[in-house]
Amino acid sequence: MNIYITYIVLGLLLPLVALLYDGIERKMTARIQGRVGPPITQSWLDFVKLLTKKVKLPEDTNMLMLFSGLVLMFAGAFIPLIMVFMRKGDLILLMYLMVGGTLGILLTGLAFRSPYSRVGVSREMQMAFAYEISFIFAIVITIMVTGCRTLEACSASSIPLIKWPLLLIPFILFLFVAPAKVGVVPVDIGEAESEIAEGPFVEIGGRYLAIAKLSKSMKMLALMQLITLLYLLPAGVTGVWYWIASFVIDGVLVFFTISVVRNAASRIKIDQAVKFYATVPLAIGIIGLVIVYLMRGWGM
Amino acid sequence: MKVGVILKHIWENLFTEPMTKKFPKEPVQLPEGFRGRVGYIPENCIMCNMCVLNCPANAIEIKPEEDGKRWTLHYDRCINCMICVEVCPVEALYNDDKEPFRVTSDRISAIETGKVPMVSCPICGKKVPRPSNTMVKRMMKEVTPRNLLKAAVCPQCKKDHKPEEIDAIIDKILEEGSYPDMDKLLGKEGLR
Amino acid sequence: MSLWSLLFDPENSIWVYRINAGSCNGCEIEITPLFTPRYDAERFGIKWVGTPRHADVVLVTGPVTAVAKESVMEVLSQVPDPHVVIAVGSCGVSGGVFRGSYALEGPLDNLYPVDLYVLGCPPKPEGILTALLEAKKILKAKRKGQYQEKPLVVDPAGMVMGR
Repeated sequence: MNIYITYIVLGLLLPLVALLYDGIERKMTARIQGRVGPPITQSWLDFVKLLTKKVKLPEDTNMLMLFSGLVLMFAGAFIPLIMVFMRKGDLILLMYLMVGGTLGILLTGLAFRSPYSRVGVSREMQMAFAYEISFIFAIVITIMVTGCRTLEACSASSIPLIKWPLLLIPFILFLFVAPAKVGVVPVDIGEAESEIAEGPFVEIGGRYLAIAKLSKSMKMLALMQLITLLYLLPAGVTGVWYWIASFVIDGVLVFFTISVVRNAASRIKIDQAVKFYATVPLAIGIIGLVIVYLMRGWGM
Repeated sequence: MKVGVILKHIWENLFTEPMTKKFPKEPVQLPEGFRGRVGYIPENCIMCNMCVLNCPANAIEIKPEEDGKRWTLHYDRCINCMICVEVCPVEALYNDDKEPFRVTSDRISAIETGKVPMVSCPICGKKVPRPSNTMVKRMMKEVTPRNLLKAAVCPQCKKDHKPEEIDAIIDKILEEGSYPDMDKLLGKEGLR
Repeated sequence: MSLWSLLFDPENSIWVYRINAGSCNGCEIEITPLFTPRYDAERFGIKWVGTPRHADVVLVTGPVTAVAKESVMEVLSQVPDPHVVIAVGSCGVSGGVFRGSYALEGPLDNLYPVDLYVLGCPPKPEGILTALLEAKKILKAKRKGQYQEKPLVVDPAGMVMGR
C-alpha cells in the first residue's frame, strides 16, 4: 500500500521538478549570455499557458499517429524518470524506453503533411541513427564493467567512477550523447526553432505541445539522474540525503552538459552532426568495448 | 585556444552583473539628437503650409474651421523624419523627445493638433488670422499685448492709416479694454 | 510579482511570432534586439517562436502589400485563440509613406482586427516591449471573455492617393 502512495506522489511531483529544472537551465543560459533571464518557474508557466490555449490542427491530421506519438513520447520520458528516481527497474528496458521517446517524436511529426515537420522528422531520424548506437554502447559497457543489469543492483560502497575507473569510458560517451538525446542547441537539428520552426512540433499547439515540452524536460531530468546513479552517486546514500544529493548533482550536470555546451557552440548542420556522432563517440564506444572485454578476460 | 576563450567568457558572464537595461523600472535613455515626436506651438504658427507640402508621409493636414484653421499631425502616419521641423520658418514645430515611443489601441485619435483662431482687426473689425509670436518678436523685438495688437491690424487698414494713427488707436483700445478677442490674441483660449 | 502570478498566471508566458508584410526590415532590426541581452524580453516570459500555431502574440510589420496579403491572412487565421495582433511601425499601423499606393491592400487594420499599435518609424525596442507587456492585459481579458473585439478600421484616406 505504502509503495503505491510513493509512486503516485512521485508521479505527480517529478514532472514539476523536471519543469523546474528546465527553468533553471533557461536561467543559467541567460546568465551565461549576460542576461537577466526568466524566472525559474518559466517552463511551468509555459506549460500552464499551453493548457489554456485552444487547439488548432490541420484538417488532414492523422489523429491516431499524433496520439500514439504523444503517448510514446510521454511514456518514453515519464516511466524512465520514475524508474531512475525509485532506483528500480532494468537497465536494458530503460534503454528501450528512452529510444521509444525518440520514436514518439518521429510519429508526432509524421502525423502532419507540413514540409517543415517532414524535414524535422527526417533529421531527427538521422540523428537517432547516429547517436543511439553510442547510447547503447554506453549502457552495455556499464553493464559489463559493473556486472549489474538492474538499477537497484548497481550499488557500490563508494562513488562508482572511483571504484571502477573503466566507467570513465561510458561516462564520457554519456556526456557526448546527452545534448543530442535531450535536444539542445548544437545538435537539436531536428527541432531547430529558427531554421525549420521546431520541426516535428510545427503544427501542434495547445495541450499537445504542452505534453511534448513536458516530455522533453522529463527526458532531460531522467537522463541526468541516470548518469548520476550509474557513475557519481554512492549507493550508501539513502533517504533525504539521496534526494538532496541527486538533485544537486543533477543541477551541476545540467549546467555542464546542457547550458555550457549550448552556449559555447552554435547549431551545426545535420551532416556535420552525423559525421561527428558516427566517428568520435562510436570509436570511443567500440574501443571501450574491446578494452573492457579484454580486461574482463584478464580477471578484472 | 578557441574553446578556452569561450569558457572564459562563460565564466566571466556568470559572475558579473547582467547587461540588461531595467527598462520598465528605469526611464529610457535617449541618445543625442534622437528624433522623437513632433511638438506643435500654435502661438508661433503662421499657417504657411510648408510642413504640409514637405511631409513625405502626408501626415500633416490643415483644415479650415468656422473661426480659424486647424493644424493636425497624424502620428499613425508620421515617420519621425523631422523634415517639418527643418522647414518650419517660424519655429512652431520642435523635436520633442520627452515621449520616445507611443503604444495605443486607437490609432485614429493619436494626433497632435492645434488651432490658429481668427481675431478681429483692432481698427476695422475685419477677421484676420492671429499674428504669430515669432513674427512679432522678429519685427518688434518682444511680445507684448501692444505689439500683438499692432500686428493684428489688417493690410487694408495699414494702407489707409498712418503709423502714428495706428499707434493712437491701439493706445485708446488698451486704455478702454474694448478689444473683443484679447484672450485669443494673448493665447489664453482658442488655440488648442 | 506575487507568488500566485509566478506560479499560475498564464499571461506571464507570451510567445511571439512575427510577420513581415512588406516591411523595409527597419522594424525587424528593432524587434530583434528585444531578444538580445540588452533588452532581454525573456525576463517577462516573452519568447520568440517559429510557427504561428505556438504564438500568443503576432507582430506584423510593413504595409500589407498586394503580394503579401494572402499569406498574411492565411498565417493570421492559423493562430490559435486567444491571441493578440500588434501592428508595429508606421507602415504596419497606417501604411506610412506608402499610404495610398496602388501596390497596397491597405494597412492591416482594414483587413484584420488589430489590438495594439506601436507608433514610430521604426519604434524603439522599448516601445515594442511596452506593447508586449500591454498585450498581457488584453490576453487576460480575452481569456475571461471580457474583451470587446475591435471592429475593422475604415480609413477612407488610406486607399486614395493624396487627399
